[in-house]
Amino acid sequence: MDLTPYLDLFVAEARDHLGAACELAGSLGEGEARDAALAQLFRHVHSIKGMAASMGFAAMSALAHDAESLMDRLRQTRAVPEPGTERVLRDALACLERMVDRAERKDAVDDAERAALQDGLRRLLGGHPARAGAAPLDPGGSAGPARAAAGPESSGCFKIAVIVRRDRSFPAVRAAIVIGKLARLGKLVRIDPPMAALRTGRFDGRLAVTIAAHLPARALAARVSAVEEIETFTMVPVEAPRSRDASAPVTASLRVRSDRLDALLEDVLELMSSLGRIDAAGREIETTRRLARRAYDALVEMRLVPFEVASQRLSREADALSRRLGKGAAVEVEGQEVKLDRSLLERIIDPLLHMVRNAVDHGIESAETRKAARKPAVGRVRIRVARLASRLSITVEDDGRGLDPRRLKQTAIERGLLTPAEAVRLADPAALSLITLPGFTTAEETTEVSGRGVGMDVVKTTVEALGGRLRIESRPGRGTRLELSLPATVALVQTYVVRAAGMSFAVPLASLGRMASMDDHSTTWRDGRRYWNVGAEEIPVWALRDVLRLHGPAEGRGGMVLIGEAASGATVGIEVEEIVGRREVVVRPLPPPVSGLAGYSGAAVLDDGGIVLVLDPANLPLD
Amino acid sequence: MDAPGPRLHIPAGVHRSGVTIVQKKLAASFLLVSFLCTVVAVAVPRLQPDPVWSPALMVCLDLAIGLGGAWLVSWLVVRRIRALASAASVISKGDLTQAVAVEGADETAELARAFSTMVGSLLGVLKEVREGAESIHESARSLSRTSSEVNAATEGIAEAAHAIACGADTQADDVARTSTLTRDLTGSVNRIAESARSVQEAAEDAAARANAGAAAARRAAEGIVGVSNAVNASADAVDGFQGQADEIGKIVTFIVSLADQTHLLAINATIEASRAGEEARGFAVVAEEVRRLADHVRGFADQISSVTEEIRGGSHSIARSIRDGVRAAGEARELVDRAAASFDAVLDATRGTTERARGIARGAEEQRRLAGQVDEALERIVRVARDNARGTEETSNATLGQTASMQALSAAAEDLARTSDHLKNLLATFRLRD
Amino acid sequence: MDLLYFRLGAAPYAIPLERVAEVAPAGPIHPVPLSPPAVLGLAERRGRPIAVIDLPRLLDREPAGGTVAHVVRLASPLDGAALWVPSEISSGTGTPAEAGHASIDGRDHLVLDTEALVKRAAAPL
Repeated sequence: MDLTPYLDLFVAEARDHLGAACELAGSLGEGEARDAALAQLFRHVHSIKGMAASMGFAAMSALAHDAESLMDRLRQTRAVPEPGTERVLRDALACLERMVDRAERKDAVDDAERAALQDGLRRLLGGHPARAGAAPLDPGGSAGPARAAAGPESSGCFKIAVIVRRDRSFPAVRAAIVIGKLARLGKLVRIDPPMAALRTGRFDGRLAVTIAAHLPARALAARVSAVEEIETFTMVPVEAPRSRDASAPVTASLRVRSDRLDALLEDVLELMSSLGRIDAAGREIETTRRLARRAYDALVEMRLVPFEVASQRLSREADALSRRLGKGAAVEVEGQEVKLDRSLLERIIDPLLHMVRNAVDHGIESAETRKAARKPAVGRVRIRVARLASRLSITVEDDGRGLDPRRLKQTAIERGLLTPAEAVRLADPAALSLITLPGFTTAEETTEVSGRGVGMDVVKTTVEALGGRLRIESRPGRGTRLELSLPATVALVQTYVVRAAGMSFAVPLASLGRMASMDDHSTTWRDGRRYWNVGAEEIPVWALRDVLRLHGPAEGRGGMVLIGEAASGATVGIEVEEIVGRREVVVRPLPPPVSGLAGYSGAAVLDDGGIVLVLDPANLPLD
Repeated sequence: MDAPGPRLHIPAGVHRSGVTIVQKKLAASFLLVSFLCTVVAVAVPRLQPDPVWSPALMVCLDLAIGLGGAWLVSWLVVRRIRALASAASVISKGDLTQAVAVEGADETAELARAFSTMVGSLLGVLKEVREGAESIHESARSLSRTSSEVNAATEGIAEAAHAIACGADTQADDVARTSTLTRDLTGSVNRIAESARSVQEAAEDAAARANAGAAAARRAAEGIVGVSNAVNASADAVDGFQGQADEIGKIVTFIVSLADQTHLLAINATIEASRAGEEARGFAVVAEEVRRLADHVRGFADQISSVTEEIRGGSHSIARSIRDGVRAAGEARELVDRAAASFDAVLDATRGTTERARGIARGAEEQRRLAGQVDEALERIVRVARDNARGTEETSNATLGQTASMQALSAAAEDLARTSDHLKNLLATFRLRD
Repeated sequence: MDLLYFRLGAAPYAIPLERVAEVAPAGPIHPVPLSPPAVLGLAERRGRPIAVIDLPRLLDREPAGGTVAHVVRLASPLDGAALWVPSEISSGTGTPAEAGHASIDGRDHLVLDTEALVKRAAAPL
């Protein structure tokens, strides 16, 4: 996968973190303030480590890891550090900065420097020195993921001079939108005027873009002309800029802090709902609304990253570990294209890593054991990501030895987490959850990529802190399945809006099998329950107003049934009174105190500021 | 001094000019006596008593002499007169055969002689009279008889004439009655004409009043329109004013909402500031100030709002009362229009009435004229009838008069007869020589 | 300490400012079927749904009528929960008094425990 689109963001974020880290490192202070500063510093470096790892910059990640270890040590021991510790720390940060710069320029890293630093760090830690020069030559340290701007897959470099339509409002925003659209057609090598200038609102309508396009010229021209905001444009083939041309910035990028991004997103959402509240109709408002919508969509898209970004890393880790442990383990990832909120991804990456590591380490048996058990020699670790309405489901499944409840109970008793009596009373399925007890996980040698103190207990708390649930299933000898069910903080969901008893509800398309109209002829009553006969099937039907205990007046013709799958797997029908239409909405989880309310997958705020509840038909309380 | 002599009562009727002999005798005697006395008195001074007694004595003497003389004379005269008187008395009793004795040659004897002549001539006349009376009586009696006869005949004519006259009278009466009726008719026609005229006058009067009323109504309507326009203008002004008050109200509402938002903003700023830590202390203070300011603004805005509400309420009620006024003016206008319309209707009606009244008056006039003509005709008839009647009456009256005069004649004849009878009877009382 | 304070009926209450994310005027509330009775429903705030909790009901006070109402959105970790306060709200500093009270401008306010409130509100009854 080509990570180059994310390079800019990585660079921007890394620089921010590094900047803050350097500031903190410059003045650590004393006592309580020092602890707080160290903690923040730790977090910054930790983030950098994760990002670097995601981007495949192993060297950077390694250095960050060592720095992190040092800080952790400092934080935990509270001992007076060795003299020079802080200096080494600052040097490490500086080195990291330089590495980021090089990565931006797609230059090779100065390995010697890095190695020296890592040595220094490790010495302080009392660990073994890093292997200088033997840093795995992976993309992180070298020219990295940057290919020649005019690589084999691009059909050419073109300079496109664009005149943006002047009869519309907010020309600068339109220019940004144009840039966004052009960015999809290839790599934007140069943008004139730069985004920073556009951000100030100064824009004279003329935009010049140098693009290394994926498409041949004619297709490119067609796509460019299809961009609505462009009034006229000219396209000229140019020579690809040389990769080592450091004099001009490769691309201009927007540097935005993610929390500012969040704030902007919120503001845009509020803008949208305010616009919705303005009664006065007018083309201008419509235009503005559309613009806001587009900006929102663009921003949302900027927030979302495909799971691919994480799954790549997970795959790599699994591969590396399996190689190290001498086991055969293959990682399958399903749902790579599922887009997740970036912040969410950041926060679950560590738990996922741990889960994967556990699967490879503890789950997959050795090749011999597997052969003896008549399993394929290569163990399979399947990571599946799926999204349902506002919930995200990430499953890590292996076909290894599974979890043995008896052994778990034993371990728990040994570790003093369970009394024998309790162990007897504990049912087997519940026993699986023992692994999430704090202190259950055996202390292991931390490796480069396993989280620090990240045991299943931390996984559980992390998942729950995100508003999610962890489900553990296992069949001894067959495998283990860990499912994370998380609320996606931002999810655009296709829904059908239906009405019952005067209230509107949105039902996600994904949770619907089909919709149909039910006429009385095909319903029968049995044991007080209504059944709808469709072909050979007999589907039990509940009226939504009954399920939700609604009392409003009935509208519409009624008889519309949504057919979906209940939690039990059975097909059920939910009768509504009216189907209003399709709507794509942003589903947000229900906030406390109703966050656990069954039957809802969240609530959506509509363009006009109204709220519609999004149902989770599978979990409606059907009695 | 001529001493009053004795007075003589000479009976009236006997008067002759010249001095009678008697009188001369008397006078001579009287003068002699008187002279004597006086000489005596003067000659004899001694006989002159005292001044008081002597004149009295003179007088008494005079008187005595005088009286004595007078008595003497008169006795002489009276004896003769008395004898005449007793003769006259017998004559008066009707006996004219009595002779009167003549004695002497003086005046009394003349008297006696004249008296006796007179009786004699009287006796002759009375005899003639008696004879004449007898003949008259005879003629009278025959006259009476004739007149009776005529009377009777005349009465028959009179009656017939009277009948005619009556008939003529009747006719005249009828005609007169017809004439009266016609006159009554004319009278009532006149009255109708009068009423018609008065109606006409009244109608014209009413018309004039209606005109005046309509004119006044129109003036009133114009006046109301003027008022209404003025009121509308004020209403518009008040509307404008109210619009301004509404504007103020809107602005105030806006300010209030602004103040509320500022209040919340300040609170939220404080919240953020509290999170930002110590550095934001100053900011928190500022936020607090902003909040207090917002509260003040809110307070002021509330005041303005209540004042504006009052103004609006006031202007509302002003506007309302103006609108009421306008509406009332409109209603008044309507009423006035209606009044004008009814005036016009009245005018029309009165015009019609006047026309009809004039028609009636003309008709009445016509009728009166006709009645007058009838009347005249009747009058002529009456006159003729009356003339006839009068003629007949006159005839009748004449006849009657004649009869009457006949009767009067007859009566006179009777009377004459009676008188002559009476005369005869009277004469019969006198004893005449024959 | 910095407090948000208000009165419900005659009783003065306060909430520590650090527990509060935002104070906003009350807007339309969308009821959630099957939700606990103390939850009035969802409101929209900054493009996200927040759950509005009937504070007077939780405190056994009469539901206030009147036109003034605010929604006090709570801060982490109670993100998305909000309290419905039918009265004017002010902020200020108070001195802590005993047993969860604080004195603001000389008047004694009961300081509310927002976590406990949200937990109570989640109870089906």
